Amino acid sequence: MVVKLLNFPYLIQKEIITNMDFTSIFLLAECSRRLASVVYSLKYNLAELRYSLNRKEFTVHVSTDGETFDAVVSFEFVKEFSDNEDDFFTIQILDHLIKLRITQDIEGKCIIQVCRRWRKLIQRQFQQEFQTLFRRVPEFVIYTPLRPILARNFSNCESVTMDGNVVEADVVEEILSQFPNLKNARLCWPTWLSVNADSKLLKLDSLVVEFCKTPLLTVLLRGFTGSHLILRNIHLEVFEVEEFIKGWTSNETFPNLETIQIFTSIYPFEWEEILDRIQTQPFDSSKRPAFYSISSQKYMDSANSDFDCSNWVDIERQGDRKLASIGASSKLKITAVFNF
Amino acid sequence: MSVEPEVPIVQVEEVRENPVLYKIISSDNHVFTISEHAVKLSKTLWDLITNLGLTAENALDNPIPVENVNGKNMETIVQFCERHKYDEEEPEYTNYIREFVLPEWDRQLLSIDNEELFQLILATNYLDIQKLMDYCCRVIGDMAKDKTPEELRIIYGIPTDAEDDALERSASDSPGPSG
Repeated sequence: MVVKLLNFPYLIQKEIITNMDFTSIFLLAECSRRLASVVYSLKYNLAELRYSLNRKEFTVHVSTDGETFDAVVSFEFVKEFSDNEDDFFTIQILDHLIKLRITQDIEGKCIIQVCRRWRKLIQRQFQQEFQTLFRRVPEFVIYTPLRPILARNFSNCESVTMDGNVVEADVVEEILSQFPNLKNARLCWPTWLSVNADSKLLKLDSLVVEFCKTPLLTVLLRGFTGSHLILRNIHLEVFEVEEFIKGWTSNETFPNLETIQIFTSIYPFEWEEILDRIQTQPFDSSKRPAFYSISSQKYMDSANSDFDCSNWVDIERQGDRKLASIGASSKLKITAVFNF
Repeated sequence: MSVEPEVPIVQVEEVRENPVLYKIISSDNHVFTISEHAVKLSKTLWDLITNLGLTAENALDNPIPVENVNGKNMETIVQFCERHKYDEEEPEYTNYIREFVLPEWDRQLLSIDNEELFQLILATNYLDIQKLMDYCCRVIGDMAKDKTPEELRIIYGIPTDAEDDALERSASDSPGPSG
């Protein structure tokens, strides 16, 4: 005996569908156009929608709290299906009837296998479907050793993570060029990457770089024009931090910088040495507030968006006399807030 | 040999309350008794009781007819309401995807065939019992787990696009009420 879902009043259909997991909801929308219209009419209050692209897979993740992500489905691109295999279902994209097969990985994640030659079509179709379904602008995680397979330009996408230690500048620029309105990027393991001084990377609003070495670091510490910069696990000498601070105070670099966080791998990092050599002022509540709140920046180190700057020292920029507050919360972490 | 003194067995419910009871008559004339706390879980029934002005004194003399719910479903509903009458109020859901675990007792109660479940949901909807509605919908929603679209189509009786199109054509071809 079946439970005829479409025979229920609409509000009950809605209750039933919203009691399903996201994978089931997505697959339900694939059953028929009529049911898809019901599924698409509902609101799913997601915090984030994320697409991950690597050599073999395109995976869709969702997060309801903005911190933990669950995989909804992975599209696994295989060379060819053998003729004697079954359990397929077909979908039509443009004039093509495409065979898909649903399976699960050992963790129970839904895997949809599809022939590699359909990759672009499948990605384009399902990226669009998930955006319509969940009404969220996606962020991308792209594994860069593979020259990225992007289905099209993503004019509404604001955040991209590029992961992979074999990163070439032209690959990075190619990826960036496909996201014309990109604001936030995270680069993981771009160890030997070097970019030109006119790279789009330097103009992003928010940039996180992990495990990078001198070529990129030098360019970033001289040419970054965005608002938020986070440098993690980097080998940064005392004199380099000092140069960066002097660059800001002399009004030569970082015209728009609001925050910078540096996690250096050098231990002990002689922070006091720098303080001895630059002119600082103690916190003065008549000049600036004790807390700095940040709401727009992605990839912040802590979920808490308030920095307590009451124990930090201030430096003043020449010309506009803008204040910056700098604190070293541990020997390995330096944070600075610049827009007071 | 010691003789234990006879003590009256007191039901937990009697300790907690001296219940006001109401009588409900299902569409097939089965009569059910339900306590005040339990009947409050149904917004429809409680509104009816309030509007009829039923009190502790006259409640049992004035059974409430519920013509849209048969005896079998009413029995399940009364059991459910009695079981959950002292539950704390649920917090507001912040997300559309419901994050609760269906208790085992309720899963057993709702282990009925799909046609019965369908009718129970309609009855629950009519009586406006949110918690039972959530639980029933979870049972139906769970049927979708790990299924392919083809299996979902069978479980939920979903017509294919071609069947929907054919149905639509035949509906538009058939003469209207005047013709």
